[in-house]
Amino acid sequence: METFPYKMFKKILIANRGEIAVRIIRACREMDIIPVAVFSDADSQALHVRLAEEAYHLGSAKPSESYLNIERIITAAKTSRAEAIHPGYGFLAENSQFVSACEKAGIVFIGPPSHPMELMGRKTASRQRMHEVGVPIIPGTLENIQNEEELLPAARQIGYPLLLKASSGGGGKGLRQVTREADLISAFRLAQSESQSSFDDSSIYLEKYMEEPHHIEVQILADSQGHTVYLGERECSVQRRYQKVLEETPSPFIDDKLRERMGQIAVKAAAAVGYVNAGTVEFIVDKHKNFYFMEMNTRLQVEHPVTEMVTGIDLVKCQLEIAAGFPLRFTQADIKPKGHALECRIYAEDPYNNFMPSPGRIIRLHPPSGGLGIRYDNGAYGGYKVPLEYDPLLSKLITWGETRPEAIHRMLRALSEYQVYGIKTIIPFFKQILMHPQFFNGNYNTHFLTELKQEEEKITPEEQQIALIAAGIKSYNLSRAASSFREISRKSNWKYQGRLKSLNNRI
Amino acid sequence: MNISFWYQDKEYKLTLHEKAENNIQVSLGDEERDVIVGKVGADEYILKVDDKVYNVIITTENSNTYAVYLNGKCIQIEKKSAHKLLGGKHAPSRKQDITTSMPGQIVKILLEEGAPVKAGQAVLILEAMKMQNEIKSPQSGRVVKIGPEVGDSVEAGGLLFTVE
Repeated sequence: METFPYKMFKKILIANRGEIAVRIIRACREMDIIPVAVFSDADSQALHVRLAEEAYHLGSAKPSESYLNIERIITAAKTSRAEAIHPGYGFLAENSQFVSACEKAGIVFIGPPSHPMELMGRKTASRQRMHEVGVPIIPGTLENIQNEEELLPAARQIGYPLLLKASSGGGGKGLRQVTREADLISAFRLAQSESQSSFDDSSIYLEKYMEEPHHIEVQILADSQGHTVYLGERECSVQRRYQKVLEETPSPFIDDKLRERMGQIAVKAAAAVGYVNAGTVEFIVDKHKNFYFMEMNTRLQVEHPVTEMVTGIDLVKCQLEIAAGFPLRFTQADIKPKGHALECRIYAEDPYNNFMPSPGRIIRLHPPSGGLGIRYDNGAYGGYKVPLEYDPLLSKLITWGETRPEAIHRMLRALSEYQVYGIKTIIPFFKQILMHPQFFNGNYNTHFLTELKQEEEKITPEEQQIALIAAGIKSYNLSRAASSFREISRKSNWKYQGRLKSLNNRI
Repeated sequence: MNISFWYQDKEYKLTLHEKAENNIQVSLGDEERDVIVGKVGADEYILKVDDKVYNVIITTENSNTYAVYLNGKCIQIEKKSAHKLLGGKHAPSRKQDITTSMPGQIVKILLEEGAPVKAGQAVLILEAMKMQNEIKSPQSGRVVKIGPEVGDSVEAGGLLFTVE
């Protein structure tokens, strides 16, 4: 073992909830670090609280009163004497004010410094910086469009179809596709007002619209000694409403040569902004395999496990080591991905009713497990009540296989064992996606899910028959228990208690 | 023992006969099935039906319905008496209570009590898990009652509105 002049943290606070908090707690346990959880009123019985060593109450279920409340989280960290805070993803993970607040309190933020985080958070500023250092960006304007006079010539230069995008945007808000000049002005005004109301900032820029695009991202790790490496890509084109549903690595769309080039460009992008810790550079890849920088996510991604499965590298542990000042344990040459990995995001949503969220009590949960290559990152359990205040992501199911077909078949098998009763989940929808010829052959882009018609799983005649038989057995048992109760109640109560006990043991 | 069940408006007659302990002969229609019953929890059973294995959970939804969970699906089986109480087959209902399957908060009410409504028209907007969902009327007619007010939280199963 090498020795370093650095020390690993003894105790960290996890400023998050759900499956990602559980994931980070597990890494802490393996590293002999004491994990501290925080929770809101809605989460006092959540799995992350149950698995933590200590848990601090933040406030009401409202995110602004709990998981987004910087002051209360810093107070909890101080009270618990945690040396560092892991933000997970979402909530405060990309909030540079939170990073500054940690610095002021003398607590290590497990993530990048505030400067690269802030720069990458601003779309036009990051596009400019990337363009300067030679990272390909989507053809479009480098500056925000100031007025309608500037709009027309800029749009003509880029050509149609094009996209109007909010500079502070995300999640599809302030986004407009324009296919012809006649629609340009009205779309511009709509995008401006939507952006103003959503982000309190009306700045809009233009971008070329990509045909049959793929969303492919590259995982990077950077230590504070200046080493930056890439850990392969993730294909994230299975999306609905700009939200990822299923991810895989390697991408079936790109070859080794392109993979290497994208990796090197991702490293260049991260290094150019002085990035430290784990990060993801998102690219859009068009049908001619041209790739362009889209944005950088300055945090751990939801879909990080697929990269871990093929590289064997625990990204959360790397994050902790980097934050504690350790250099990376490996070089680029040491990273040799093996096999194929898939991740299904299990949302508590009804796939056959416009993905309507389905919170509530889980009556029974049979987790998927068993055998080589199955990983289950969960945030729920049988008896747990899924709160309605937060993101409906219940868990993530990840499978690894030597080949892509093996990973897919393994996923199908695991999904068939994964049963959640009491609330609706999108599990049955995954069976449809995985078996779809377009997906199975790896021939899909970001339009795939939008165009896919959802077919509700039918109850088969056999299942119907079994259900009738099961209901009959239940009735039979109930009536038998009732009649034996009547028979016994005439006799001794003591005998009845004994009989009841043995009956319970038997049935 | 003879039982009648209803599934999707069709009646099914079952006869159960206990052959041995935890071994029940079930006749359903003209089919005879041999069932070995293993009870593994309060509501959880392993049924071996003619040697084929089924993991099922059977809960009593209410006094008239069993919910059978099988292969990740939920199948609702009604007792015959439920239909007798309702007066047989579902007539096109005149008055209908619309309840919510998920708990949430009312963010907007689009129609007033007494307002005419078309089938498929949104009556109110319910927010759950950061998503706003339009709750539509299943039939044309009139909104006779709106349960909650804007800002109210509703539990799963709670009344949203009544249409006639």
